[in-house]
Amino acid sequence: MAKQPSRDRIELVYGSLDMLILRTLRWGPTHGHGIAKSIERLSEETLRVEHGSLYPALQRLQQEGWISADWGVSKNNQRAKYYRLTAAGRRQLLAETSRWERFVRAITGVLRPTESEEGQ
Amino acid sequence: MSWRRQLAKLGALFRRSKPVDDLEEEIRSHLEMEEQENLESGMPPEEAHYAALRRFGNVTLAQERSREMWGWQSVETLWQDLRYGARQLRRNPGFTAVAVFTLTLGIGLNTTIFTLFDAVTLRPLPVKDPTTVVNVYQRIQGEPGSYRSFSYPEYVALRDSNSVFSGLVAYSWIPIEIDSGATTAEAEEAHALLVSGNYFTVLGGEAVLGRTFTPEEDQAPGAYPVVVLSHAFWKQHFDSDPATVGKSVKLNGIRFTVVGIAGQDFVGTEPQIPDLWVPLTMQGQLMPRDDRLPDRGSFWLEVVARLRPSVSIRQASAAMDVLINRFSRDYLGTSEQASITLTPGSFVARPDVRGQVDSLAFLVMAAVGMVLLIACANVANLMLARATGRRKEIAIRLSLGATRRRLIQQLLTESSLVALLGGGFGLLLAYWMPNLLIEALKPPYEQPIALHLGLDIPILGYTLLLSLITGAAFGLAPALQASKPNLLSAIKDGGNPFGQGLSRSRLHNLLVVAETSICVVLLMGAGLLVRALKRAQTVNLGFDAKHVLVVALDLDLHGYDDIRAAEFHRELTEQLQTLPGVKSVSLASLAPLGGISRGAPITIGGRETSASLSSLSVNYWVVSPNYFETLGVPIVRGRNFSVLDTRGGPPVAIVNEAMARQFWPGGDPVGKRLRPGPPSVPFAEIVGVVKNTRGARLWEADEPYVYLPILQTTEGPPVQTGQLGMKLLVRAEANPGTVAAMLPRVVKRLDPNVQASSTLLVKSVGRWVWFSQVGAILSSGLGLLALLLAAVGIYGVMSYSVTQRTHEMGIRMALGASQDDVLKLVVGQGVRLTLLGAAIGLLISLAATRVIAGMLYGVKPTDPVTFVSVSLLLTAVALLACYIPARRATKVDPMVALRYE
Repeated sequence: MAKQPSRDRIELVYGSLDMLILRTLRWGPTHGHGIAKSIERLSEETLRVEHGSLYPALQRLQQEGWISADWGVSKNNQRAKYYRLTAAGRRQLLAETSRWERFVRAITGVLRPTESEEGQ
Repeated sequence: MSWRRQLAKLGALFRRSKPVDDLEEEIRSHLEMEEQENLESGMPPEEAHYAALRRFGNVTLAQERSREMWGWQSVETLWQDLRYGARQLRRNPGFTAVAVFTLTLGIGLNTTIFTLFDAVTLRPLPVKDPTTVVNVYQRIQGEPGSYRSFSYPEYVALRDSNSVFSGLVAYSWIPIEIDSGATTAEAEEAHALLVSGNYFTVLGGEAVLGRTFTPEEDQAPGAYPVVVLSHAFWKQHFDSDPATVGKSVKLNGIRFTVVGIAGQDFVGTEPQIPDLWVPLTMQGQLMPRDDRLPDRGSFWLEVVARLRPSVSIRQASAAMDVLINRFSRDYLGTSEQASITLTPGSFVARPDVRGQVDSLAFLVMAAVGMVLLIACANVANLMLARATGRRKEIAIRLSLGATRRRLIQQLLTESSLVALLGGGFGLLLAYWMPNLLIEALKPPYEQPIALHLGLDIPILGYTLLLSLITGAAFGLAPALQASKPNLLSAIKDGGNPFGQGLSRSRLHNLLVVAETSICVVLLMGAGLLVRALKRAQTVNLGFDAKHVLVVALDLDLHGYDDIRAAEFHRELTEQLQTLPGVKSVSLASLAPLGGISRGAPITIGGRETSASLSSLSVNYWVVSPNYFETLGVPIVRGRNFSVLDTRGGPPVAIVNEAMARQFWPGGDPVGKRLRPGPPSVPFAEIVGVVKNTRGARLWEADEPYVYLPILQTTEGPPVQTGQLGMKLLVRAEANPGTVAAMLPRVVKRLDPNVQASSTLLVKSVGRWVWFSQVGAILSSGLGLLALLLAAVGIYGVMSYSVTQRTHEMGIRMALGASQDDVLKLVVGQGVRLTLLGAAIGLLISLAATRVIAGMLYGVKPTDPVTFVSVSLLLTAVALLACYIPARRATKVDPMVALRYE
């Protein structure tokens, strides 16, 4: 049976895909399918990634020099292209993450000012 | 995008294997993994496969996007689009032909004008190594805007003491009579260029036979009677005889030796190739009464120089500034500060003249640009109409995942292709049009003009740029429109049931209004210029130019003084009057419409001589008693001059009506006194008043003239009435040609050396009319072309609209509308658009025609006749263009129209 799109799933905010890919690659090199799966798994199926949209993003990240790619063999003995984080990519992830956290904190603060204080 | 990404892309361009070459494999492996996972989670095999595909999304799009990331996709897409576009154009030969033809006219016309402009002003001089050649002018401080040439002493000083030029040449035109030495041949008029001795060597002109001038031939005035003939002149007058070199010819009656024949392709510094070149130092011999060489106050020499290697224009002009000011101080003793202007060598280099040429060129460019705009509007309309036919194709491509941007890009590629085709053919048109134009529009009775009109980089670049802009201009709006149809309805049925998209028909209408208004502006310009031409052709000269010959004699070249000249004139007049067919012969100081007038101060007697009056200046004309009879100018009051009005008698004068009106308004000037000149001249009594005539120029208003009797006046400034310069006016009974043919024999009988040259007075009129003619011919050509294009545009839109509304028309007629109603409906729509366009165009014209006010002699820029006739013409043409499609609409069979679907 096909998976029905769930109401709880959220389309990705533009530009956040880059950050998610970089974040995924922190646990080690993996291929495109692995990246898609781990984004879905980690977000507990909340974030919906159209697998096809991953590839243009991967090209872009390569051009920026944040990731590099090499062919390898998967667990199931399939040929696949493995992406790994470069040093520049690590720095970029750090910067992006802190930027994102500030953003989230700001939004949360606007939406639920009291609760956020209680949470401290 | 960061610089790092750009760099990566650039690297990818040159790398053999691209990072995305294995993209297909990568995606395949991705899909397999997903499918595997689905299988493991218990899906049936087929279901697992499709679920994986769904999860992935549009595979092609993902690939395309990934590739686009690397940038080189665009080249690939461009090539794809070009091929696709070419296929589309081949499939619609009718559309392609009309569009390309329209654009060929528009672009070709623009390129033609640009070619002419390029040849006159942008191209460097056709000399050896032209980049180091500059034109030299001087400018006197405190006289803003005026540039002047050089006197001979100035030239010599600059030539001999400068250290920035490897050569400084000077030249000046001179009219010449050449007698090739054959006993039967008559002396002929020729155009000679007086040049400095280094003219040929500095500019790199070689002789095909003999030699050119040497620098020594520049030294002693009058010492080197040598001449170099142009190749064309040699061919025409000496049958290309090699023995011509070394031969002796007479120039203005002086013996010269032909030392060489210039190369066939040598043009030099002027667009008109001279017939022959003579050393500057011979000026005094060739023009014995006007020796300019020693004259420090006569600025008659054009100067061109070649820069020394590694000297810049700025350095050179700074060095020359110092020289020219030292010269004025040391030799002229003046304190005026001069500065030297150097411009890169070209035919039209003098900054003030260049400004005039540029603004004229701008005017013409604007006019042909308007024609191109109309052409663009037409092609845009065609594209729009065609896009409607392609709605289904476009909708399918959109639904298959093509982005709107991609589609617009493809449609623009297609329109650029059409524009480039038009540009290519336009280039062909521009290859032979300029010569044709020059031939058709060149002033009458002048030498051929040697302009280099071949294609060069600026012309090619201009045409390419113009084509691309044109492609975007007519392609953009239709592409934007076409790429946003309602997908569903377009796929369901390609046709268009009721009332097409409102915005699309609005765009059609907008284009029609725009092209109509532009067309009106052009027609207004043309109409005004044609009216001005009519005015010029029918201008009341005030005299009868028909059958009148103007004869000039070269007495000054043959040792005549004023007394002997007077005797010669008297005898010649007597002899001519006895010739059969001659009605009347007279003498005048100036030829009518000769372009020259002579003015002098005047004092009016018999009234208070105020300061303002004494500074007045009027034109003088010294004539023999039968002058008025020869030209047919009526004497309205008083009497004519008589043979008794000689130096012994009381001084007399005749004035024209304008003079009478200005100085004696309402009164009778006869009997009043005036002083024609400075206080040393005695007062003369006015004995008669004649009708106004055009004087020196055709365009002048009624200016005050004073006529003085030839037998009474004395030579010298300010009136300059020497007998030597007198022109003979001969009125023939019927055929002035035969009189002109007999003339040289009569003159020869009196003195075998004297040459007479005669021209018809109507030719002088023609020369003045020519200027108007050029404007009128050019502008009416453009106006008619614009009208034709606009008519085609209106016709196209109306017939398209009728086709689209066939169904509607059928229903109207089924519901009882008569054929007349339908006719009125369609024609009404077209005419409404046209009238709106015309109104806008007329408003623009009110402002725009002011630009050509200077060319409109006797016609106001707001001339109501032109406004009304242009409006009527346009409405008539628009009616016709609407009527044909409207007729078709009335032929719609309601049944057929209703079943259609």
